[in-house]
Amino acid sequence: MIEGLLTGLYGLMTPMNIGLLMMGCILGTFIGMMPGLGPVTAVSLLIPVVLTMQPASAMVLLASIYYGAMFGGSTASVLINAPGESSSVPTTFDGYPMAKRGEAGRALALCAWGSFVGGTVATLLLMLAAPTLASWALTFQAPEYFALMVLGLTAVAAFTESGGVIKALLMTVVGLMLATVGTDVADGVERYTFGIRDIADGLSFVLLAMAAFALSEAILAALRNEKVSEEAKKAARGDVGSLKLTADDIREVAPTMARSSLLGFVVGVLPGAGATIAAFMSYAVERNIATGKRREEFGKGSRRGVTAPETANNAAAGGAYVPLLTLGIPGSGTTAVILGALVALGVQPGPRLYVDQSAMFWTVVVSMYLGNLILLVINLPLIPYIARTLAIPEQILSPLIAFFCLVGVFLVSFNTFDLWLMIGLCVVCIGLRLLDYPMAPLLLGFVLGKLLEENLRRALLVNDGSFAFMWERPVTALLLAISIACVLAPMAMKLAGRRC
Amino acid sequence: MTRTQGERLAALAILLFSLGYFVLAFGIKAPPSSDDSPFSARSFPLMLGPLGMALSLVLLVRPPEGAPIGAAGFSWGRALGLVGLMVFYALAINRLGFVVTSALFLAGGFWALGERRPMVLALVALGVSLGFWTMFSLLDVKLDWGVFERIWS
Repeated sequence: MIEGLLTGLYGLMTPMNIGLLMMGCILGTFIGMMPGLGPVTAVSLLIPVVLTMQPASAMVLLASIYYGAMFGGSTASVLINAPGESSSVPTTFDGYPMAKRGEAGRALALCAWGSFVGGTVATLLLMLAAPTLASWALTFQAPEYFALMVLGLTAVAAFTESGGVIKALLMTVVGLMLATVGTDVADGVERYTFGIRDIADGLSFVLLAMAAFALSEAILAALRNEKVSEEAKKAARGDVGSLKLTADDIREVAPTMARSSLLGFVVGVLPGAGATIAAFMSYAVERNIATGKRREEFGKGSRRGVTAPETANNAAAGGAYVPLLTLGIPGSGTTAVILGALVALGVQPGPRLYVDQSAMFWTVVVSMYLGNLILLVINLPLIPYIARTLAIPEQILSPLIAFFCLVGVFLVSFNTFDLWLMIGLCVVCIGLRLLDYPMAPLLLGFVLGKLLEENLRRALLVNDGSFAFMWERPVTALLLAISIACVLAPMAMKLAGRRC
Repeated sequence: MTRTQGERLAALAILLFSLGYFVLAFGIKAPPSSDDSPFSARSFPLMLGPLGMALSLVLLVRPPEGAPIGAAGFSWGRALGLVGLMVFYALAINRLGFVVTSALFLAGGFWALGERRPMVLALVALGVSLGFWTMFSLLDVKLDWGVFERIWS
C-alpha cells in the first residue's frame, strides 16, 4: 500500500497534474455554486477537454471537479438557500438559518471541514477496500459480470430521486437501446444506423452526456426565467463573516464528522445510493440521536445539522469510487459520466483496472487526498470572492453553458452532424426532464449497454444458450435476487404507504 | 396540456419508439456464421424492445401523478430562442467560421434571454469567442474563419 501511495504521489507530482487538480477544485466550486448546476453538469462540461488527456490526468481533473462541485453546492445552500444539487439540500436546513443570523462564515467553515474529513476518510477507506474487492471480483466470470451490471442498473433506477421506479427503469432500457446503435462488435453488422456513416461507430457518449445534463440544464434555466435573488446579490458582495472555527465548534461537531463519514462511505459504496441519500440519512441520524436543547436546534441553525450532510455527501462521493474503480459499476449519474470518459479514453473498466492501471488508481487516490486539502486550504478562504459568481445573471450564464456544450462536442469530431444530433437529443431530454424522467439511468444504461450485452452473450455461449446460469451460479443468483429486491422494494413501500 | 396528458403523450412516444426499435430488430442481418449461435446481433434488441414496450405501457395506462409542470410560469420564447440559436450555430459554423458564429451565437443568446446592454452583448460575446480561438490556436487546434478566410486570401 505504501508502495502504491508512493507510485500515486510520483504520478501526481507533475506540473500538469497539479495544475489540473487545482483548476478542477476551483472550477468545480464555481460551477457547483451556481443554482441548478451540480457535479454531474460540471463533469459533463469537462468531458470534451479530458478526451485529449492521459487517463490518469483526466481522472485527476474529473475527480477534483466532482469534489469542487460538491463543495460549491454547499456554499450556495448556506448563502442563498439554493442548493446547487440535491445532496446539498439538507445543508440548507441549518446552514441558511445560520447565515441569516450572521454566521455564514462559520457555517461555510463547518461545511468545508466536514467535506474535508468526509472526503479524506472516504479516500482512506477506498484505499483499504478497493484491493480486497478487486481481488474478489477477479474471480468473476461473464455471468457474474452480467448480474453485477444488472444490479448497478436496477439499483440506480430504484434509488432515483425523481419520477419513480418505472420511469427510471424505462430510461435505463432506453439507454441500453441507444447503446446498441452502431456496429455490433461480435458479428460486425450495423444496427439502427439507417446507413448514416456518422453513427456507424455508435452514438457519441460526449454528446449524450451534454444533451442529457449540461445543455438541457441551460435551456431549462432559460425556460424557468429565474432572476438573481436579492440574497444572491448580497452574498456576492462577499460579506460572509469569520471563516474560523472555535475549539467549542470542533468539540461539538467532531463526533458528527466521524459518524457521518462512515455512514456516507457505506451508502456511497452501494450501487445506486450515493451522495443525496447519504446526506439525508446522516442528517436524520444526527437529529434522532440528539437530545434536549441540541435537538431543538435542528432546523434553526444547528452546527451538527450543517456538518452531518456535508461530511456524508463527500464521503459518499469517495465511496462511489469503490464500485467504479474495482467493478466498473458506477453508482450515480456523475460516476456514470466519469466511467463513460474512461471508456472513451480506451480504459477497460472492471477489476482488471486495479491490476492493469494500478498507477492510475493510486494517482487518483493521492489526488483525492490533496484535492480535499486544496478545498480546505485554498478554496475556503477564497469563498468571499468565488461567491461573486452567484450574481452572474442567468441571461449570461445559460448562453455561455450552451456555447461550451456546442464547442465541446464540435471540437471532438469537427462534424456538424454531432451538433444536430445533440440538439435533437437535448430537445427530447428537456421534454422528459419536465415530466420528471430521470437522466442518470439513461446515461448509465448507455455506458453499460455494450458491456452488459457482451457479458450476456458470453454467458449464453458458455451455457449453450441456456439461461440457467442465472439461478445455478450462487453469486449470479444472489446479485440478481438483490436486483429484483431493489426494484420491488420501493413499489412495495409505496403500496404499503397507500394502505396505511 | 395537463400533467396527465403530458405523461400519457410521453409514454405513448416511448411506446412507439420501443415498438419501432423492436420491429427494426428483425431486420438486423446477422452473419450466416451466427446461425447456430444462441446469441446474435439481433438477440439483445429483441429482448430490450418488449421490455421498453411493457414499461411504457404501464405508464400509459396508469400515468403517474405529479405537480403541474408549471407551463404558466415558463418563458417558452426564451428557451425556443436559445434552441433556434443552436440550430443557427450548427448551420453557420462551417460557413462563417468559429469566431464569427460563436460571437453571433453568444450575443444572440444574451439578447434573447433579456440582456440589452450593448457593451455586454459585444464585449462578452467577442471576448469569449476570440479567447477560445486564441486558446485553441495555442494548442495547435485550427479553427477556421469560413468564408472570411477565402475573402482574405
